[in-house]
Amino acid sequence: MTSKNIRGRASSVGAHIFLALLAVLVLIPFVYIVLISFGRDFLNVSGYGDLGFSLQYYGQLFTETKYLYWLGNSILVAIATMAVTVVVVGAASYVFSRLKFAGKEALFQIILLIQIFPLTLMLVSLFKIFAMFELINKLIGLVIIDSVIASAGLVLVARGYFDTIPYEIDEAAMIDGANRLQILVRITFPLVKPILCIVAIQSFVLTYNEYAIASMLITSGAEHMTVAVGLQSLINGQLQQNWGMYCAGAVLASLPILILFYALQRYFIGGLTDGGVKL
Amino acid sequence: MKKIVVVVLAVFSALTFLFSWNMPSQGTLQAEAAETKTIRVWGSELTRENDVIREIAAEWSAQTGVKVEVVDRRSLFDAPNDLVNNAQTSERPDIVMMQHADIGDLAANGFLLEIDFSDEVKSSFDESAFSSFNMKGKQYGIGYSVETYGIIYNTDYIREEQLKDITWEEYFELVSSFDALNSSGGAMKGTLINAKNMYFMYPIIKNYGGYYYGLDEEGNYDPYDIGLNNEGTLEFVNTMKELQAKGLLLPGRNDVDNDVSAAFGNQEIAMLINGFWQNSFYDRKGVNYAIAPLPKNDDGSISKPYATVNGFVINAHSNYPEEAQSFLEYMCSDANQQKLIEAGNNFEEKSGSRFPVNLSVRESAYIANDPLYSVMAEICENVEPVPNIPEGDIWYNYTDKAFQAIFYGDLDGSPVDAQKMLDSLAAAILSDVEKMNVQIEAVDVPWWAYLLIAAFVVAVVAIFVLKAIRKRKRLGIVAHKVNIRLTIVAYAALLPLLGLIAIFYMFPIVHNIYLSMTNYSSLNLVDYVFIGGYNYKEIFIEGLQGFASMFLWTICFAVGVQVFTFIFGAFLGTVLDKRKIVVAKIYKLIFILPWVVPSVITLLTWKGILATDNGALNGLLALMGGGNVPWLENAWLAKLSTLFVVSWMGTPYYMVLASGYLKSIPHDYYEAATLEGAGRAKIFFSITLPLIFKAMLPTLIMGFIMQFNNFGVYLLTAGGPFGSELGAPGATDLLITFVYNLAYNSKSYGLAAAYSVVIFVFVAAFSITTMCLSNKKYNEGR
Repeated sequence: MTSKNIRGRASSVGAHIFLALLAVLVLIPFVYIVLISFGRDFLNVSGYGDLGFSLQYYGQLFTETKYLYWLGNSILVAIATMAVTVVVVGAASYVFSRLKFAGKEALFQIILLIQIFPLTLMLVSLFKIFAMFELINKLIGLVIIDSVIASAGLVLVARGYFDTIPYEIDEAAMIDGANRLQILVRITFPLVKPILCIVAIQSFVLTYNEYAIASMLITSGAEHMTVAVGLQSLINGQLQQNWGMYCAGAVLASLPILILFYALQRYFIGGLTDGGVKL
Repeated sequence: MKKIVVVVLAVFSALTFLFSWNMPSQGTLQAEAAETKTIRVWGSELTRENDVIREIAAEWSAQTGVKVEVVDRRSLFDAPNDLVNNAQTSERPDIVMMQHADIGDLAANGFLLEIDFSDEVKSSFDESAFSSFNMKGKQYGIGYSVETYGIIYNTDYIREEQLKDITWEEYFELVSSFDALNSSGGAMKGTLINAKNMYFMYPIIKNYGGYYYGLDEEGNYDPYDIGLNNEGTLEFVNTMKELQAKGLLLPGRNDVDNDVSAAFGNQEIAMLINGFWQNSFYDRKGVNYAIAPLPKNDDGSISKPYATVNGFVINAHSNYPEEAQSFLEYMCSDANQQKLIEAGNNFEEKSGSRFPVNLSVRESAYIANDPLYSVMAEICENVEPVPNIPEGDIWYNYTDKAFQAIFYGDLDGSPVDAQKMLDSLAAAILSDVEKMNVQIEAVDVPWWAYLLIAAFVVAVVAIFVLKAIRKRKRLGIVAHKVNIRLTIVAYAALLPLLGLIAIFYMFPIVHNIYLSMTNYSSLNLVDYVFIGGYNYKEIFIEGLQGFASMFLWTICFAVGVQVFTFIFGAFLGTVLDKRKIVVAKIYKLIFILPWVVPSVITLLTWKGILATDNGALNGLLALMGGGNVPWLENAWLAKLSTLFVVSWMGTPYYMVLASGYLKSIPHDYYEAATLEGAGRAKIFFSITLPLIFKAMLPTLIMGFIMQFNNFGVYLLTAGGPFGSELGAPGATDLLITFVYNLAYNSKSYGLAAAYSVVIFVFVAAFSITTMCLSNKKYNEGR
């Protein structure tokens, strides 16, 4: 008994050491980014070396660029995309997982296969479509294309999770006289909350970081750009590569995602107990 | 549940409101355009400069009644591409600010209006304002500012007279013999030279008789006459090698111009060849500096630096070409040029971003009384604008790598024969020039081709239907559950997804397949024609060099990243699952960072950490007594580093996913396993992993595809390290990055499209095989 306890404790300490080391490995680059944003570039990533602590870059970000517009646009597009994606992916995954219909597997595989075509190589064709629908320079156009990309990719992720929920639960509910909609809302939805949260975060992150399409579609001025495009313009501008400002922008831009993650985290930690079902 | 519905509704209505509020200008603008004429100007990335254009526009509008809308742009680099896209849409610009080197493709495809400037304008600008925007005798725009370089020197150590009227030979003697201690007691060298960068090296190459493109009798560039492998360029190489022996070239093969500027800022060198781009950095570092013109050629003639001219062009598809031209001329008045230049340089801060080509501005107090700018004015009297013909920018793809091999040796460190390398450099450039200019005959599509396509589509559908029917029969009664009503419900529910995918995925794919059979390229952006299988023939006849090894590496990379991220992610999820909730939360919050922070910045940070010289990792190793490890410069280490960094970025996603899936694994599985005496490792590998794997299979395949098409690697290694063979893939080039570069180097976008189709077929075949195999295995396992 005691030896087992000791072993348990030893492995727990080992796990903690392991996790702490890993945390350091993960944190180093970010600490570094934060340091650059305050002017301390020990590694000379920026090529200018260490310039001493200053808040200058954060100040510049707000006075010399349209950073708040960029952030606003990005958050707007990302939230809208997230909302659309969660609804579309939720519905589609349910259908793929629960309904038996003609052509199901073929359709599912087609959705997977077409994503092999890298959109990055098809920007010309994509632009033609957007011009046709008059979606150029409109944030709603970004919402549409980001939703398509996110939904097509994430439906594959979510369906697998829906499949892990035993069909017997549905059947039991049906025997109790529940209809499909009731089952969906009362039983399936609470059970798949964790994966929907992941879908939400991932679609948000995808949209937030998307660069190629956003930079092509939005050409009507600095205040309409998204944060990914705006930040890129700080290092790809022709005059100077402004790493300090770039890092300051990146630090601020990752805050919304961290907040979102933190807000949604309890759902995938709460997991199944929320549904009141013990498997 | 009601609460959620309310929340969702609230979010949607809020979004609708926000979108309608965010884009009010759209409707109003169009309405206005119907009443009054509006011309749109794409300005620069400098808001101050654009504000001045707005000011000037307001005066002009008051006189003419034509409205002007000025758009802030990200950078001038995007202007040509965006102009091609938008030239004929309702968002079309009328006047565009861009670099002169970019006009080649645009002019060749009829996107630029030929402009006839009045004599008054002509006489008030330096000749370079016109020559740079002139192609084959036609005037397509006017220069506004010029960017070029000279010798920047530290005035505490170098006197102006020392650099006055010396020749390159004397300059090299000066930098070689220079020896001093800087203010902090460190050693100070004469200079550091980035001999890889032809932009700065071009005047020196020309000094010895080398050149990029020669000129024909009419003074136009002749891209078939390449002088980068003549004796002159070889002499340049030999001179540089002598300087390298004295430690005056950048030490590392991957070092860049910023490293030179940093050395100057840190007072490690006294002189460098550069422009005004880093002035604010030198100021911050407290360096006293000045600029001098380049040394003279050894024969006494003036050595001309390469120059880029920023200026304005007019969209040939403009609705109001006359108004646009009239506004452009208005902007070109001396007074307005003065305002623009001062704003572009951030007024008294003199950021050095814009140097005028207008003569009166050059003579104004703003320029002439400034010690730095007055010298720049002298330099600008004699510059060589980089070639503006469509073939002009081919050198970017090759010179760096060629000179890197010449000065820093092959990947294994063995020296490279300079003459041979220069020959292959010239051959590579010539080959691209030929590819760009090849005339491919249009192919008429015979009527039976359409029939064939229709037959193919029918056949595919028929196969699907037949397969479905057979499956139904085989499964018997169970399959009869597939009823029509459910099918309709299912498709109705999927309609939004399928519809959007059809429009925004399928159309581009089909269009892309069509483009792959055309000669769509930089010289045929508008009038491209159907050329049948020509591009595919190109790929399979000559493009397949190195294809096999690269394909193999791409698969190893994608599989390696997937396997590692999945197993490690699942492992982390499991470990965290056992910790207390609060502890797990904190760790998760840390571990997700690589997932959520923009990958551009993390990749570049890793690049800095893994750098051979001054990298953090090597610094750490040095503390522990280790040597310098070339993490990104040795072919195999670079591959490993790439795998590690990409896995590092990908793991958190699988960790989060896995911790979601862990919840759905029934506890009795673990209990049963523990009762049977299975250890933790055993439980993880025989229960947790397989169960998660099964559920995540589509995700993993998707992830594999995404890794296969990973463009991010490029920021870490740029595909390198490269060997001495020009045009061959680098050690970490993925299929997609390589073909992307290959096709875009020769600017044949049709070829790029064909490559994407070929890659698609390969990956699709691979994915389908994997799916079938794993499905089969899974079914057998059951």
